[in-house]
Amino acid sequence: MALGALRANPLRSALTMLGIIIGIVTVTLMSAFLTGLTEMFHQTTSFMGTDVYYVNKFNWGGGGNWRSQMDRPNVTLEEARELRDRMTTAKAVSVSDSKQNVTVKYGVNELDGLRTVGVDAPYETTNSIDIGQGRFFATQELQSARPVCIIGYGIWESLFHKMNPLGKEIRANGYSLEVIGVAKQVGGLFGQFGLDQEILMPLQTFFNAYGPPDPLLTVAIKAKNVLQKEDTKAEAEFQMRVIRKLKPVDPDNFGVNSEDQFNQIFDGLTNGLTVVGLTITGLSLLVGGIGIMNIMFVGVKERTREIGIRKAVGARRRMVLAQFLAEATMLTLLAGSVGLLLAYAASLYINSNVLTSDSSIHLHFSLLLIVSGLALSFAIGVASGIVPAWRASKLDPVEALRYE
Amino acid sequence: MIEPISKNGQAHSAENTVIFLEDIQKIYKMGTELVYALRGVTIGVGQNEYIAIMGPSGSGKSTLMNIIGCLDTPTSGNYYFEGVNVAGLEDNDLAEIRNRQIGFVFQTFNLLPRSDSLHNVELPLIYAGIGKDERRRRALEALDHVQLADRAHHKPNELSGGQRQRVAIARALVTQPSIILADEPTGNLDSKTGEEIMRLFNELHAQGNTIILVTHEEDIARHAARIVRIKDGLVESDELVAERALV
Repeated sequence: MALGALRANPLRSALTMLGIIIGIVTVTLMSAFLTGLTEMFHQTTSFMGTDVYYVNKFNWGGGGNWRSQMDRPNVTLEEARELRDRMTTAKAVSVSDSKQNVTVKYGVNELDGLRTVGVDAPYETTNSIDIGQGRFFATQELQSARPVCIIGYGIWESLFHKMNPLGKEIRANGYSLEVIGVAKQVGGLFGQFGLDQEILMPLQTFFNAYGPPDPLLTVAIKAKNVLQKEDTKAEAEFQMRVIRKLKPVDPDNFGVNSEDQFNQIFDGLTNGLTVVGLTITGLSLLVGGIGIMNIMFVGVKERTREIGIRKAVGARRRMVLAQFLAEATMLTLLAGSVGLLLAYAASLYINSNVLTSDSSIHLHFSLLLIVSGLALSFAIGVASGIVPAWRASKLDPVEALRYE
Repeated sequence: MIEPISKNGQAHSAENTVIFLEDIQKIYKMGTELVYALRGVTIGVGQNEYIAIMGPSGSGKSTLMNIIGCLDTPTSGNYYFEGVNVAGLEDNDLAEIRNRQIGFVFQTFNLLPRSDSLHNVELPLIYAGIGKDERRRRALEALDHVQLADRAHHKPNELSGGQRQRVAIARALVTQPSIILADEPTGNLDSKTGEEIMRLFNELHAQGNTIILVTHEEDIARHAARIVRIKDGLVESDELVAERALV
């Protein structure tokens, strides 16, 4: 019965449904993207390790006043080394320094925008460095500042085209380094912006190549026992206060941060993105819903006589209401299904043709998304159909029958 | 209590009638003015009566028909349908009475244009909540009754005017209502087809149906056994037809 009206005016129905179809496509793709984003991030942050703390002058997540954090003293190399020596609950404490936007050459091949990191021996533990080919730095190499390096998987791929790099010379911002190892692929966001695109070298070599320590050294502390990592954090805070000779009344002038905080920041970010993204794409659904409501009003007007006939032969109010509601929800459910199909096809295409690399975001099209897409379509049908349907049910049969 | 005007001794009170209208008034408000469409109409219609309601336009005839058909409610007065006063009932209760007790036949047929004959005839049964199989069976039976069983799957625009009206009559019959209420049933038909339709009504009457015919045509009205004339919102006359037109 409800489908009959739809078939009677196929072009108009199709055009009306287009609004909902577009709305469902955009909302669904946005949700798939946001889910993919969250998923990727949580996958990759777990690589950081939940038991690693980073000592820095900032508190991640911006606890307290950002400006006052800017005025805090930097963690110096001496402080970092003293902390490393004092820590008793740490499995390893590493001190590292880094430089962004480094250009690396090998023969005629050249890569821009890489990151070089000067590291020490514990770095292998704190940053979970997994060597795929070659080896990690020997103590001797670290102490005597040998010009050697370990390259990330991505660099090996693009600079060496996966040929054997060991023993080869590369130039990082003009500084010659011999490749002694290639790290295993990390993948994900952290691979892309981290180890996969990094060149590691001994910290002293780093200073020789790029001058005195960067004011923003990274101090990473890996807890001895994951289950007692809070103790490690507390000790790091205590030791830093000792090193900096802070009085009991003084507040901390440093931050001991962890991945948890990172996730919190990210969750805040994705929540924001979700609200904004779904609100904006939801607007197109709203427009689609208004279109449905409009066409339902037109339909009720056009079919006034039909409503009169139905009432004359005994249709009660709620039967008329149900009929028009069913028509509206049928329209939106059909449009929603088409939209979901299109969105699914689009996500398959995008995942296999655009977002192909392992490290990038993937559109995550789940069953939940399909169910909620259909539920949303149904809800829009009810929301946009209820007023026209109610109006239809309230028509006076005498006047409705007289309507031309 | 106003005495029923009928002098034919047929229907005088609520007890022995299918419908009994008692001092029915209908007053419309047009802006600030009050329009008295019906000023106190009393009519009774007995079982298996065939009655024509006549009157010029503006007489209140249509208003009376709407009230008899439970499409409208009177401003005052009582309307007994099989002994039950329906004057003050609500929309949904009236819908139920229309569904079960009244079969409508309209001048313009009022079929659903996109539905075939069968579905049109089934429609009242759908609203009566009757199951699909029985619905189908009864609808086909009703179509057979008007000799249109072979047109069950034709849509109204594939049927002639006379056939459409017969589909409408089948729809009116399908619920086996207490009364058949026909409003100018031949108004949109040529005279020959009109005669056919009137013959059908005569047959239905002969089979025991109660028929109320609303018309302004004397020839058509003379098919009925009794004619009630309405003028200025009042019953002008209520008489038995001496010589019925039997076709």
